[in-house]
Amino acid sequence: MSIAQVLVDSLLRAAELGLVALGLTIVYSLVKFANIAHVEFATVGAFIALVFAGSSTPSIAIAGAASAVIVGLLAIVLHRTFFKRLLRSGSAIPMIGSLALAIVMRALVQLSMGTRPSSFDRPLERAIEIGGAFITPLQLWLIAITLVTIAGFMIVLYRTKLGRTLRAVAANPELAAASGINVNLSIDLAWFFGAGFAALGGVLLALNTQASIQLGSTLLLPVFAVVILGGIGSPVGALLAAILIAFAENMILQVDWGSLVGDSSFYMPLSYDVAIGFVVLILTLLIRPQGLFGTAARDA
Amino acid sequence: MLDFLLYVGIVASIYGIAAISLNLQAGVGGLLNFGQVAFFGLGAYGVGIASHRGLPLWMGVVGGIVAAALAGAAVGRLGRTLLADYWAIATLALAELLRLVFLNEEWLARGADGIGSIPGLWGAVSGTWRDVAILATVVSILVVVYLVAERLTKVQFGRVARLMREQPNLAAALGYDIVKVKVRVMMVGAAIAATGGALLTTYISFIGPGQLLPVDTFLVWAIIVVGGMGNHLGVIVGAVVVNLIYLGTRFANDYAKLDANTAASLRLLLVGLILMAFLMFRTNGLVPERLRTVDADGG
Amino acid sequence: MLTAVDVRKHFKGLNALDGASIDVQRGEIVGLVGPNGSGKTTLLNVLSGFTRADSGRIEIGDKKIDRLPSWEVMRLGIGRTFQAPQLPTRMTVMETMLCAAKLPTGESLFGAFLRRGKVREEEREAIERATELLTRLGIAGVGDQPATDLSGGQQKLLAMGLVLMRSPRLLMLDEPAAGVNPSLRRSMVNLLKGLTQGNEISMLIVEHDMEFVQRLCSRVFVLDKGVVVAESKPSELADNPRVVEAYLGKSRATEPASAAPTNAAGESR
Repeated sequence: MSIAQVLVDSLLRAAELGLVALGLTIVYSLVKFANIAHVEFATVGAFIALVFAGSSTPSIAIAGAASAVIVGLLAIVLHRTFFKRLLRSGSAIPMIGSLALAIVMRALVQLSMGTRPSSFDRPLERAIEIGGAFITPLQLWLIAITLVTIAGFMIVLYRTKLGRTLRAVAANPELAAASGINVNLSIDLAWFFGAGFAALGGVLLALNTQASIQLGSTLLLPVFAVVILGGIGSPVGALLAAILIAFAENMILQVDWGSLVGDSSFYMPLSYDVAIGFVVLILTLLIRPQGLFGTAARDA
Repeated sequence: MLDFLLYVGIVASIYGIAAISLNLQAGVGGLLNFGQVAFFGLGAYGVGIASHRGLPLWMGVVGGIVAAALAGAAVGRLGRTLLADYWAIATLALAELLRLVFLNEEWLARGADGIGSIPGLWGAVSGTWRDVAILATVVSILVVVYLVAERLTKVQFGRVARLMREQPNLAAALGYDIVKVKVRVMMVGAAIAATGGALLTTYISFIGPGQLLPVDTFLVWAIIVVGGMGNHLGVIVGAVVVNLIYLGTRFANDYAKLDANTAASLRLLLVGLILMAFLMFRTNGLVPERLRTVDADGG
Repeated sequence: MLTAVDVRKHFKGLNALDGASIDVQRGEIVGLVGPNGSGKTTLLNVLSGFTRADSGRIEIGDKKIDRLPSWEVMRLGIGRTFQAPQLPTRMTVMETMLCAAKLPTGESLFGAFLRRGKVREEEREAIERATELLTRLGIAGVGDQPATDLSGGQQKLLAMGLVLMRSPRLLMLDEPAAGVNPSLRRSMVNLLKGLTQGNEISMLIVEHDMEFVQRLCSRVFVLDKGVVVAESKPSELADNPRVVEAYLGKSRATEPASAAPTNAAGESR
């Protein structure tokens, strides 16, 4: 495969991971526990959009946007009824709770949507060629929307009052509260954006491939790898980490490891591509837990 | 009907063993292991691989337990550098990594196909009597595991773990090497889980990567939270309760003629919601951990 | 006994310790005072191995401890308390005391199952010792209660009991008198004084309560903004202009000694 194709595939994969990871990094930095159910927002988002979308592009776009909003609101409700209560007992109980919620969400999706994956009602597209690599117009849109969303959110985070508020609560909730910031509202907003982005990511992913119950769970560990490598709370970190991990995933499959293993030719089995994410995750946690751009380790 | 009850009894007992294992790690040691299924799987695969290679079963059991203990030690050492929820994520990742390895490495354990026709326990006995014999065996092992766990929790080994669970700084101030305590708790927990895995394989005579899915970790967590984290008897109760729920939905399933996937999802939905409810309203579980008083005689 | 030279520790844009040097001689009770945020707890954490210093030399006995993890430092015969006693909620007072005892047979997997007699014997001895200590501290009879059910003052005494179970040769106490009523404070003073009879134990006490310090310490170090600004006998402190300045400051209006300190911003654990 040409290097151009590898780059394109990597960008695509990075986009797949990027939005969902952006969502997770936002919420994680404010609520401070690892939400295993986060990726299920992507699954739910994809299916909600599927239900409302027609076959025309505008209808899909509107369905996608509506889905993101619905999932964002759903997240706020889940926080207020469930997670907020659990957070009183520390950060371990919410994490266990998120495991339960993930299972429940997946079960509900299966019960309402069936097991067979579904696709958006779209005509097949023809790939265009750019510098030796093939990519469809939809995939270009995917990458573009992801980049624009991440960039847009970064502007919000660093150039607006809202962003300053969110960062203040993430850095020091007590101090923020003492300065008069409405911490509860900030956390609600973080959930809204976090889950909304995840849903959007799910919609895009489903557009590119299909919507299945496993959509979220196959993303779980790679997305966590991206968030931790990038540093919790850093959108640019999430973007960079997504690109790095996506690239590594692809490279691991491309390279002929024959010389290392003493064989004439040896290629990694396809399903090991996610393994690179796990390895990156574990290595990051061991070597530099705050990731590339995160704030320093949470303990002295 | 009897066959089904025997089946539920055996499975519940095996889950009870897995639950005590996780209870030692999480309930007693405060270690959030989300990759529990990996230890279970190592025990299961130990037996499978031994059978596949024509080795005696007991070698597989021992091999699986040793492998699990070593894995537990390795994961426990990670606790030195990792904070609690990061460590939890790492355990999740490691378990998935193990499943991928078993899935892809055909030479190891036949990959996705798994290993079947494993000669199980009580092979010479046939039919229902075989299941009765297996039930008796599994329950006996469960009782032994329970006694072992209780003893360990009661003596200084467990005491230090319990202190570390709540106040790691105080434990360090009293001179305890936190990492070493974690490693030892993990090793014991892993060995017990592997035992459960080995038992399961000898019962259902099959092992494949499908047995190493995260959903099994979820079920054991549900069992210990519902049963009562920190109380070994409690988690056995939890195993019975959760399996009864499965039993109940099975009957509803037959009645309503649902397909397998829908039934499975309903079961998971129910258990998931119950776990969520317990986490919200009764984190102590059905049989809460009791305060251990020391009698003047000691020991 | 303990020597610390030029210790520095930097946190997120704050120089918690900026070249602090103190020492404790054998059998001495040394005080460490200073206004809120001066770095007292940080210094204690560094000396006990709970925080790693950026630079500086720290020796206990003759052993350099700067690279050691907390538990290894503690095993050198050190005992320390925390500003807020970190007691478990799901263990009784007696079980907590037993945690502090040396029960090697019960700790080992082998011993737990195969040497039950020894386990019982060790525990029995430890229980006796613990009961004796608890009585000496004035908190006998609460053995079966959850450790956190005790009153604030009792919890502080229990924390002290835990350290004493290990017969340390150097005791580091972080604000032992904070939040403790006056009569209890007086018994603490007597208890601590009693311990150093015959050069048994050396102590380093971080405190706000000047009276406590006056009655116990032979020498006092004053810490301000991460540096030792004075070292003298307790009685001479008030005359030292640097000390007065540290507490009253040029723009600060903080009063030394009176109220029990809350977890001061900037002073990490």
